[in-house]
Amino acid sequence: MSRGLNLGEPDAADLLQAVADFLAQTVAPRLEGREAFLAKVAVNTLGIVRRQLMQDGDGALLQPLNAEADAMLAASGQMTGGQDRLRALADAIRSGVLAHDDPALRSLVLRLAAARVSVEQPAYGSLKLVPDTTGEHQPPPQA
Amino acid sequence: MTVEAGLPVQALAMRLGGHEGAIENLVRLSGGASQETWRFELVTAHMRQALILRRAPGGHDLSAEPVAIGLAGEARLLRAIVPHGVAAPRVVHVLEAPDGLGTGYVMECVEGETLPRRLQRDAAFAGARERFAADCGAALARVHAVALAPGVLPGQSDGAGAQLVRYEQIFRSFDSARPAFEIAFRQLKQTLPAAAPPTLVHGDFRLGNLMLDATGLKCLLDWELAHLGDPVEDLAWLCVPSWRFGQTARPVGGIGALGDLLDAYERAGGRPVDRARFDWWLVFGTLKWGIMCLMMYRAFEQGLDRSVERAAIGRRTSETELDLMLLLEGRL
Repeated sequence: MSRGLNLGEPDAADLLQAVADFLAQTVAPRLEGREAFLAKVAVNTLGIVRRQLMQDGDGALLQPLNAEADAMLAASGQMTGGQDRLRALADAIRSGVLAHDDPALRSLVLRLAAARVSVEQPAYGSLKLVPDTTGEHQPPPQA
Repeated sequence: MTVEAGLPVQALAMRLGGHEGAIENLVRLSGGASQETWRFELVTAHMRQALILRRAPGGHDLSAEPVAIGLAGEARLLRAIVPHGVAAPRVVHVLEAPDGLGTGYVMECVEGETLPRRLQRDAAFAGARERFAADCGAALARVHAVALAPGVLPGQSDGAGAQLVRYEQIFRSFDSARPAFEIAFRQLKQTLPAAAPPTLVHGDFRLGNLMLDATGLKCLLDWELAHLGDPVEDLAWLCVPSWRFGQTARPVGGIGALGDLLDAYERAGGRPVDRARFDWWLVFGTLKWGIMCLMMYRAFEQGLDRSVERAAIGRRTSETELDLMLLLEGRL
């Protein structure tokens, strides 16, 4: 998402953070049982939305993976790119055009999954097993 | 204490406690995405008893899994297996139409803890954690030794081959592009294990459905996915990465070691576990949980359950894609 306009107003991430903090700090402590559980789920859900907005705005995170997928699909004579990239990959594996036990394919699919988990659940345990995961649990690169 | 008092329990109170019967401190418990679980106290002039009501949302069975036996089936199964020494709750009453609460049953309230994070971390459960894997192995050996009378469960065995076909059909109906699932499907078809002798399988044996106290495993809950099938399914499901709740390096529920589980299982009379069969079920269980997440999101999408829990669970599918790839690479 763009943080460059500098209109002196909160951007979408700020608004989501404010709502999440309100739910977590003010609402959740007053709830019990299932409602307290659902409040926690709600807070986590807003976190997914916030991280996804930021990732969509900064396509650099996924771009190398997408380029790798496109190259792999092109090498096997498949249509590439765009919104249907995952669909093309999935179909090529299902039909056997891409060998399901090819180490390069498996490595790519693993990193694609890790990129999604880093948005949807940055604290998920298995992410620690993927050394080059891009996610906000890692310090941002120096400018 | 009562958070949701919206359940009309007057008829149930009189059914269980007679004319002077009353239900107090009714509270819905947090767990259970497909069933409601309520705790309450039945009060009469002479006694006060804690009980659990298991009930389908809105009174209608809404399980994501098409072969779930439903709450009536679960009650029938519990009544059949408790006499075999299986540590399962005793059923007190199966709901009937005049109770006005839809489908479900009332069972005894076993005191203990089910929340995974507390079981993994709280000092009170340090001793229970030491023996957790062995407790689970012994408990599963007892479940798998039960010879059920005909008719308690559907007769057809739901083993590896049948489940693989069914979950692929379900997954195809979603039009969800998941390269990791496609890799897993191909791998699982290539390595399908031979059919196992039909055995009583719990079907959802994992942290969250296991009640512990400080001394160890006390009670096996949530039998709605029980079926006849391959017993190794239960052993592997307990070790599916999602059920390790963050403690990835400890395969058995994020608490114990795999060797302890399998040793205790065999010592307690379970058939020796073939490692390739276990690995197959571990990969399949991970894939199945990913598809179940999509199924549960479906209930939200179709307007059957608009809770934030049902919406958000669809976004847990990616964790199973990652776990599948790590499992297939031998890194998990």
